[in-house]
Amino acid sequence: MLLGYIKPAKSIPLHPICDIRVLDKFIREAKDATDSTKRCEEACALPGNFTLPKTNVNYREWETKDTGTKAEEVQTGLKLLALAVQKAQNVTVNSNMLHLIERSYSNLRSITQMVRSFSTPDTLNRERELQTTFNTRSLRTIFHVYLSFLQGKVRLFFLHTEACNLATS
Amino acid sequence: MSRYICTFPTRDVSLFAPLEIEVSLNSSVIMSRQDIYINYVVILDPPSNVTVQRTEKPNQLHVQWSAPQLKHLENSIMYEVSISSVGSSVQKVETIKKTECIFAKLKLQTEYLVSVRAKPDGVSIDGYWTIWSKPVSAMTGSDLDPLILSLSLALIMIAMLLFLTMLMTRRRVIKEKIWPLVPSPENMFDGLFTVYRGNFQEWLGRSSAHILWNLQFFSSEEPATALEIMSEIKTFPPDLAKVKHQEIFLDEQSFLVSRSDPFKLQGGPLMDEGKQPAGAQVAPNNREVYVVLNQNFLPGGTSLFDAHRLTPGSNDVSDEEMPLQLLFESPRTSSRWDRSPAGEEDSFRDASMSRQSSVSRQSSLSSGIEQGSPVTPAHFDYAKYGPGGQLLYLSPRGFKLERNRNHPYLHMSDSGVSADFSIMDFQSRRNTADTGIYTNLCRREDLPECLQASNSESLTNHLRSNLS
Repeated sequence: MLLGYIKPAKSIPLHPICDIRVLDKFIREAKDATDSTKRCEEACALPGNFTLPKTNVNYREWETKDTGTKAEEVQTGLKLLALAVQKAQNVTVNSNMLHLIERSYSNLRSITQMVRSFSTPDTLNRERELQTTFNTRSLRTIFHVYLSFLQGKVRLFFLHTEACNLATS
Repeated sequence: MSRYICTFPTRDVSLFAPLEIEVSLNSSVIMSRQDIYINYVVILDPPSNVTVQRTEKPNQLHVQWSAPQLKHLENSIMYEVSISSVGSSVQKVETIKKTECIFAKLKLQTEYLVSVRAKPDGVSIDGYWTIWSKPVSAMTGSDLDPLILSLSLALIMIAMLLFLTMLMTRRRVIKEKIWPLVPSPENMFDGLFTVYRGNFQEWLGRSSAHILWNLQFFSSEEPATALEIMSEIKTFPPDLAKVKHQEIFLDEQSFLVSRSDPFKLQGGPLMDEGKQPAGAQVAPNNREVYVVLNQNFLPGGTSLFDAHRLTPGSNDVSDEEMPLQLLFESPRTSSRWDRSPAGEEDSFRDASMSRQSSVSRQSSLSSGIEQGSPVTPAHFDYAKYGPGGQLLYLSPRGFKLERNRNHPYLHMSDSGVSADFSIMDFQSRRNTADTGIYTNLCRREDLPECLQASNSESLTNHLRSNLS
């Protein structure tokens, strides 16, 4: 009788967590990482090139874009950041930096998950064409870009997406 | 050092990316180069439309303002509200992200100034504090709400009205409690206050309620008793007014005198020895009148003892009326009395005249009787002595016991109404031997004539012999 009442649980999350406070928390953590790498000019040098998205946001430009484009930009940017952080994680030897990098990587994965939950799948294919990128070799630049990307595009996307019920406090 | 300001249009400005600013002189000399993040150096306008309102509680204030109208900065601005009472330093500062605020626990009846400033919260956008908004003043409330005041006043008025109406209706009762009525005794005394104006003496004396009042307050348990006439008394002299035993004496002078003429005559010679009592009228209150206890002297049988003519053999004497009359009696005197009433006057006179000298008197008495002259009546003089031997009463002729020892006299002791005096005895003794009335005769040694009760017969015989 007890088994009868057990229903199969859904594999996907019931509802996308679209809470701006979660994003703000990620942003704060990214800011901590950025502050910790401010003074490391030489130690933060990484071998190889890392491709990072451009994070500049113009409000007027942003408002002209549609939701699909916004979602695509956010998703491709998050993907690039994730690859770069992962690459940096493999290369970094310093334990402090490694901690920061790992935490950033996990946050990125969460954010990517959140964005994917409330975005349509057809936008995923256009990610490479529209995105502008630039290369860097510094860890500090990686963190900066990561932070800026979260503060800018991701946040704006979170705030003005209709599918996302923002619980702003 | 001069200051240069460059302004860029917003479409050319990108946030969230490092912006490289290079200042060069004449496009060849680079003066400075800087990478800035614009989203970190944001300065907003100060908050506008600041309003301060009072809430339900008198010590609270509600502050509201409008946010800066930047579309993409809605949730990234924090505010600071400052409230301070007039004339003092800043009291409270609250940092919130909402556009409204409530200040509690403020002072009552004080004026407060409120101002607000804003700043980006620093999460994605950072900047500097704006300037303070223009201060807005507001007054806190007071404890005495006018509504409560009016309600309490109305309540007090209603309570006072109620009290007044109760006082008016119960005025009589309250007055009785404070000033109790003094009871008046008017209804107990008829006419005392109305007719006699409170004069109790008059009311007692004149009103018919006197008898009732007396009866009510002085109830005598003893019924009125009939007074038995023991003797006809003369008015007693004033010096004996204090004697208690005078109560048994009755003033019957008028009664005696009016009935018989010789009584009148008796009064005359008794008073004045030398006078000729010819029809002298004796005043009823003449103290010299005395009683003759011999019925034979009475004219025509009209006497006090009219219905009871005494003869030696007569039995129908009313003892109550005449207990003493039989002391002296003689059958001869009665006949002689009828014959010559005029001569009795002489006899009386003689008797009175001879009173001063005992011997002559006695002889005249005896001679008067023996000679057939009108009967010389016997006189009954009595003197009354108190228990201690003092003279209480003396008959008006000044009869003194110790002087006139030669003529018979009877010494009696009596304690008022004598219980020894027996009417039946009197009756029997009369029938038998014409005994004297007094049976309780005392004994006195120095008086040969004083006889005991057993010798009453001898006494009477002795007396009779003297008279005859």
